[in-house]
Amino acid sequence: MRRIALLTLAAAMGLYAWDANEDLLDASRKGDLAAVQALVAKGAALETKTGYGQTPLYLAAMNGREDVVRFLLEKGANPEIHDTFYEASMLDFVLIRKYYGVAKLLIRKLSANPDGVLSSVVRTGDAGLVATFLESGRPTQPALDKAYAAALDGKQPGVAAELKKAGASEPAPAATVDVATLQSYAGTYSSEQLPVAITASVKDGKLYLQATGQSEFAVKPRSATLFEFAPAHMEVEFDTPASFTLRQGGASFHFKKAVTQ
Amino acid sequence: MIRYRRPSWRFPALGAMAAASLCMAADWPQFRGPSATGVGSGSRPPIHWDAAKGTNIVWKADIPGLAVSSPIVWGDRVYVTTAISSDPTQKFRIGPYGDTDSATDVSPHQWKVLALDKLTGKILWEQTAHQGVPKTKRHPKSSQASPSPVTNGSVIVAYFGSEGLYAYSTAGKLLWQKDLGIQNAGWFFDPDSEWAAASSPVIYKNSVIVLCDRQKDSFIAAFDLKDGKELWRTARAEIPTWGTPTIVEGKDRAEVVTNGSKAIRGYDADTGKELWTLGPNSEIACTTPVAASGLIFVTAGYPPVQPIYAIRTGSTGSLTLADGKTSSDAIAWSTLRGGSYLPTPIVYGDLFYTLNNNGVLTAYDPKTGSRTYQKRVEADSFVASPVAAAGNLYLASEDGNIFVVKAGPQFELVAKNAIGEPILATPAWADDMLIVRGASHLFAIAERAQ
Repeated sequence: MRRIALLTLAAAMGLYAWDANEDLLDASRKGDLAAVQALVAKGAALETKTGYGQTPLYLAAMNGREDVVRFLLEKGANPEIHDTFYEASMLDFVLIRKYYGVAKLLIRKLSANPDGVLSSVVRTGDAGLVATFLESGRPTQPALDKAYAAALDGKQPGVAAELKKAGASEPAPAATVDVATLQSYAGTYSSEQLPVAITASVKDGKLYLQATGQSEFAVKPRSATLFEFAPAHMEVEFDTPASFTLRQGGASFHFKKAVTQ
Repeated sequence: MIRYRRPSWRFPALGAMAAASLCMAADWPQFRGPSATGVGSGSRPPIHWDAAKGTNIVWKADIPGLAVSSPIVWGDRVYVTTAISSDPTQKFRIGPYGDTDSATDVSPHQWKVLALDKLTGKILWEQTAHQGVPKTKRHPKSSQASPSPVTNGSVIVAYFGSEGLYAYSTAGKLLWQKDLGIQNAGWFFDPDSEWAAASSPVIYKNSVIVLCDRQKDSFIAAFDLKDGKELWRTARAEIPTWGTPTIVEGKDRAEVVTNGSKAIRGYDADTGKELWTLGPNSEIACTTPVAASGLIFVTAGYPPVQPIYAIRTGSTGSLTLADGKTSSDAIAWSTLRGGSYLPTPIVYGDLFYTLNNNGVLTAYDPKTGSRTYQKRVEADSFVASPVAAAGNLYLASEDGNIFVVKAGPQFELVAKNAIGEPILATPAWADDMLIVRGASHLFAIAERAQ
């Protein structure tokens, strides 16, 4: 009898904990600081997760709930969490949605993958955010140099100045690639990994790329086969004149030529 | 404006029949027409037109508001739904993009059903189903009136998601209405990213079936066409989805086939009992199942998989394939790559076609899944589903062009026609007349009368 009573109590407590955790996720997403504080005080789990691996801090951050983010970080919530579906960090969503106040709070607490964080932060073009990162982040020299080159290419003098101040080196001059080689790359490429087509064309001795529905942009040669578009932290490497690998944000996508121009 | 060549199906013998309950070849009673095939009955549909010059434009009607619902056609009527925001600056966000936020319009709206004369485009009646501030937000590329209406020739049913289900007589009289609750259909990853409902109702016998997949408590239900009484309701362990269910009449039973993120499912159309399930599927499922030649084709185009399944009708139980398998007794063929995201596929002639949002048109052998060709149609983005008639496919791009592509084993672009405004709704057929909903107008397009 006593065992049954204990089991019932344990089950009830488990149910309460589940409800409290669900409520904490919900309150964090909605930015209800008072509810978040009360739930944490009652023992709701700081690192409880949705089915996609989002924690209360993740939900508060991606919805721009600055007060809740500050509170949860003070309580020791982990800002390094990646979700299990997109495998994205909370900072990724915060930057996409331009919640720069939240971003500053997170950046001060992040310690893993400083090179990746720098790349993401530089892409925003926000010099204040870059300065916040550089106060605490420790990127490698190649990452710093690459970010500096991207800022120069993207005509972001404020960002470039912060990176230079942090010790970035001047970028190497672009390689020279003959027009015939560039011309061999021209065509429309498609990928089984991404639902976009990319058209490569040559104008005024430069290789241009244009993705479906986007503006075309010139890529800078690093060698006869490797090209870079620094503002988007993107590299394109041709395996053959009929295929290339696009690298961006740590991901690689293979494209094959579907149409020759 | 030009005179429209009256459709050839108006034979005296057919005219004597009880048209109210008989779907004629020229009728287009629901999203993608009879049985959701997308295939029109016309023998001489338009190939070329010029909206700016009025060439082959039979009529052009101003439709207020924003809606991506498709027009439907019955007899001499065209029916459309719309949602009119009191903020006149509201418009669609056109083109490919990757963010997930809702449109920010929280101004009062009017939800309307309009009946137009098929031959002239004159508005015969309009009814305001509901007025108020939308209960959920919409996707910037979508609308507050995304589900297409459906009719059996006697009753017109319009579904406006959180704003309810409404049935009208052909004269425009409100017969009944139902509040189906808040339909928070949005991003699975963040319920605050609301995109609004889009699944269209379908009619089966004396019932209208509505799929309500939302953030919590999803369900599918059937309501009596006569009075709206609920006939059955089946809970679904689903997150938001946007595809329209398809009724597949089999030898021994009729199935309601639904796309779904957690599972593609078949239900008994008479009882709502779940018959079969199939996975895996994309986390966002938007397309409508298509049935042809004993197979049901279902696609989806979002991570983690973008499948195409060719499912044999009459199957039962779990149809999910064993690891590494692409076919079984219940699955004729399948692939986990290449499924389309928004445009519903089409089976036409001897081929099965998918159109991806980026304009990549792929033709397959519908029996085996072997690819016949793949070709990109040169437009930025497609969200409307392809339709077909008289040997051609009609592909409507978001930027307002309709590409006429010859059906067959080789890609051949026959024509490219502009209507001069964005197209997000799937066009409809009324015999030889193509009815296209642009962002602001409804166009009736047909070859010039001889």
